[in-house]
Amino acid sequence: MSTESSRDDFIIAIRSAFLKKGNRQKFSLFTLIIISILVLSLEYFKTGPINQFRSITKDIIFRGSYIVSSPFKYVKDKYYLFQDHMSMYDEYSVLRDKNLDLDSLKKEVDFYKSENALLKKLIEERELFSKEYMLTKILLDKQSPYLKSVIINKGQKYGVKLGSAVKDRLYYIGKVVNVNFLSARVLLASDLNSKIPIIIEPSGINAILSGNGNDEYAELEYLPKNNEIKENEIVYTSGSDGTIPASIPVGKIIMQGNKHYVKFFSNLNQLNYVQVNK
Amino acid sequence: MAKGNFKLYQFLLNSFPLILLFFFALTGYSLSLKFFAINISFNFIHLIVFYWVLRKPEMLGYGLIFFAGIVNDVVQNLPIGISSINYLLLCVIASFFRTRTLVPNLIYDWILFLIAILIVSSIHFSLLSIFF
Repeated sequence: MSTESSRDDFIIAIRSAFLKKGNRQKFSLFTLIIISILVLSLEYFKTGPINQFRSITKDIIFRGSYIVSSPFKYVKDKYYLFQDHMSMYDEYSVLRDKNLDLDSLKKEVDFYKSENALLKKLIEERELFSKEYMLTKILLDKQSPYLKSVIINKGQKYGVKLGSAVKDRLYYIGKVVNVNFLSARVLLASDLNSKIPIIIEPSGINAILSGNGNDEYAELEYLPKNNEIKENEIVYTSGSDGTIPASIPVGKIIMQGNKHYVKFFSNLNQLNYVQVNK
Repeated sequence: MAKGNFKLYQFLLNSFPLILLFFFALTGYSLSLKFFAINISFNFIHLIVFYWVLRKPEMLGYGLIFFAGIVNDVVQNLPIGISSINYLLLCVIASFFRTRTLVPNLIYDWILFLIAILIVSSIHFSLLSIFF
């Protein structure tokens, strides 16, 4: 008898939780769960009016999110500015000690560039990628251990394409993974899902750069077993995936024990403006 | 004048969970800690939804929780609708415990919250790995 009544109580409690509309509640939870499932099933439509509607909704939410997070972004920027000021003297000393003859190096690079262009012409290699980049502003900086991405303020309307490479000054930082009408999402190279084909120079070894959620360095996968990679060798994009242009510098090799890591040239925490490949 | 101030104070107090909910949904902030190479993340939205639906359900509308889920999905780059399902399931669990509990106890609330999070996170993970 008591088992039956407790079972009845249990069923009544579940029914009440799902169907009863509480004080000031306009919808029952059951109705809203059904609506959520319907909204989720719309994810299967990747084109057409549903996709356009989704794109506009995302643009509106990103703008709202930008406004809400702007005071926090301001504080963060000021914090990094303060840090930069504190380390200014040390950085100046390092730069002075390096004493690089930049002018002669630039001339050498120009010579190699023109030589490379001539050789490419000789073997009739076609340029697969555009060399044009457009400057965009970071709207949102969404960084948690499980998601490293930024939202930029240009989208489909300005010609941003899915898979385009994104640079911070000269250095590769990520690629476009989602394009809306007025905004786009860039997956940073440090994200857990980021995999980019790279080449290590001067040893010329190909590998895959895999993000591990760390802002400063990423891991290398598919390296040959008996490689002779040395510390401070430079990592460039190899362009073998057909979407990211080749020869964009990414970082340099650092060793921890027997493992190789790539330290990014760019500080992924302090991005304000980035360049997107057209 | 004093009456007007009191009304404003009352309004702010009543809207506090709603402001908090949309603040976390729009900014996507979560507290992340690294503990012996394991990343631990606290999702504040789960905490807000569970607490207010359990204790003061009239202060947080289910429709608004659904909408906060949609906003969170857009910000976090998740399939749109998945967070809404999570939050609403959390509401179902909290609402179920509310009707079953006779004497409220803070420790029990935390234990129930952990059970609810376990269920909701399992459903979230299953949905993502099966359908997306």
